[in-house]
Amino acid sequence: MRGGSFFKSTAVRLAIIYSSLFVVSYLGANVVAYQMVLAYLDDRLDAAVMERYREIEATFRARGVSGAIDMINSHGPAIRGQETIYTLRDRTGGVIAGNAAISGVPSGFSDLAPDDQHDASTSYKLFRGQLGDNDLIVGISEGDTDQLARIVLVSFGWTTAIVFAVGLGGAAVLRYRSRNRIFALSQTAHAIGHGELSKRLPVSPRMDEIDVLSSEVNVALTRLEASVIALKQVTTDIAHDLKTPIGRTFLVLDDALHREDMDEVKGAVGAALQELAAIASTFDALLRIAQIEARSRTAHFRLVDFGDLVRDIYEIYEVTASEEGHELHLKLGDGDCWISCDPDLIRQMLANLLANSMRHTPAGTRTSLELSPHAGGVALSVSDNGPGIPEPERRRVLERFYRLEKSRTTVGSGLGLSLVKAICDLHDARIELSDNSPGLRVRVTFPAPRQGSL
Amino acid sequence: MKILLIEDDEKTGGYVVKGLASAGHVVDWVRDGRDGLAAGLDASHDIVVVDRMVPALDGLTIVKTLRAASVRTPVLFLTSMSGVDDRVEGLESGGDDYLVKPFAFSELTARINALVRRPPIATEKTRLRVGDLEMDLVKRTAERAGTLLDLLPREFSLLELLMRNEGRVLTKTMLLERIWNFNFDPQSSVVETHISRLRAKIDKPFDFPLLHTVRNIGYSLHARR
Repeated sequence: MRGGSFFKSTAVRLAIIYSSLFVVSYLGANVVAYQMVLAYLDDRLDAAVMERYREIEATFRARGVSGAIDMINSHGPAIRGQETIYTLRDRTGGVIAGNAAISGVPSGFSDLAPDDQHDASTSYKLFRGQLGDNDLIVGISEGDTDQLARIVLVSFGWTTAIVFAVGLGGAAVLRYRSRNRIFALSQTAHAIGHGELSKRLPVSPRMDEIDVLSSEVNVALTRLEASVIALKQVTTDIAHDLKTPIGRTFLVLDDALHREDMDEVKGAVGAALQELAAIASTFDALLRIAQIEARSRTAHFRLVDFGDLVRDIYEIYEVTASEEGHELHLKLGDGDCWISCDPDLIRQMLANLLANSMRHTPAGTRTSLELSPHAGGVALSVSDNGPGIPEPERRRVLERFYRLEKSRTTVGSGLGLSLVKAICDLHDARIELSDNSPGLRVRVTFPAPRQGSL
Repeated sequence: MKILLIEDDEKTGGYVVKGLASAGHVVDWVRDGRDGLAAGLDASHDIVVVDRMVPALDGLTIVKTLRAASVRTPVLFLTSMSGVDDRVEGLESGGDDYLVKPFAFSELTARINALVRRPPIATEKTRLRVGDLEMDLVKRTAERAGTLLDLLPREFSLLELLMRNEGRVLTKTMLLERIWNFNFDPQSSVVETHISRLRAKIDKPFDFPLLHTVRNIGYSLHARR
């Protein structure tokens, strides 16, 4: 990931959205507060104007027009500049006192705009009333009030600006931090995309959303890596395992080409055919494993009495075992053992397990086939008292083409147990190889059939 | 016998035609599905051998169409699709047998012979006889030269299949499929050991053998000395 535009960053976008929302609501609150301040200041001004007026009015009542004139004249200059203005007119309309000559304003409160009739630069709040036959106008400059309102407005402006600046700064910090994480993630993803499947996304102990996502991706990567490695291994193994029989076939046929005697040629061709049949059956087994692993066979699942299947296979292999000098025993638990399975595959699984047991043990070995209920499901075990499999190799014999060194010389593709494993996986069954001391014990546990399955 | 072969692969087709012709059969070879269906609808052949994957119309569709048109000619599928489900699909579509490539020519002829002369169900017999061996299908008993044979159920089925196919070769795979229901290679001597048991019961105590091993191919039951 390159730098990218600042405003394209998710963190920045979120921070800006949030701080914009905040700024908008803050501005709204400020507007309301400002209006309230203005209203308050206006009320205060009204009260001040009224107070002046009442003072003069009170003096007028006590001492008449002359008292009022004195009052105005004594007051007027004492007040700074022209902040307070007065105009007292007599009956004829002539100005008899005051520091301004205001005219043409209505009775009661009114506003006087600056420069309206007056040389002042501010506007005034006026009150006009009648003192007997005289007409009094009192006004106070709104300059202070306006200034106060301006101060309030400016301070609101500044705080809004600060809030916005802090928001943007926060966005930048967030962006920087998340960018570093995302950058690390995307670098790793890039490496993985280019084949470095062993890389994992960094996960911090905080376990936030990104960490949860990363660890999920890591789990998927682990599985992917395992299957890619398995695939590579299988490809190599196939190439390796097939090269041997192909090489033998080649030699046999090459030899046959130089033979004159028809019987010898026929014998060689027959041997070559056998090698080819083995190769074909290896491919067949691989295809079967692949198909079973692709889970394309659940369509053939039925509810089957496992006991019947096992008894059937036992009867078949009992003959084979005794003809080949092995002993085969059957032990069936009481009661039904119903499992949901593909009977064709289970038959193959049983056949493979038994064939495996007989092929890799010397004559006289005793193999027992046992079926017992287990945690609602069924446990099948095939155990023999043969040479067994050393502990470290037990897991590996389930892998494709894995064969114990001592079994290299016996027939078989090395796929029998892989096929068994694939069939177990398809049936959600667990396969365990353990020591039968002496011998090998293979235990397959099938889960109880799910409710509602056929 | 007149055989219809629907196969697009030149080498396989040529090989099958040559082999069948040398065995005295007449082979009509078509290379795509549409011609194959047209030829099959004539119903003038004793058997149809059809590849699953041929151009224009696939093997399954050909056979389904033939069966829908009430053509009862036996059908043998020939295919490189050895998948576990493919066999079931093939047989469900109306095919009578299924042979996976690569195959031995003897396997093909054995299967063709078994299919063509399989007796129609209507004429089911209740007694079978090969030489001095007799089988009562109702009582499920078998005797040879008047001696009752003590057979296990599977041995009985095996003998019954061999007797029904008197003189014809049944291959190991055919036996595995029909008697043991194994649609896979068990990698062990299941067939051999059972044949050996059966042989001990039906041949050993008597003057001459009825059950013959055809080397590298299979087994055949007949009374020819």
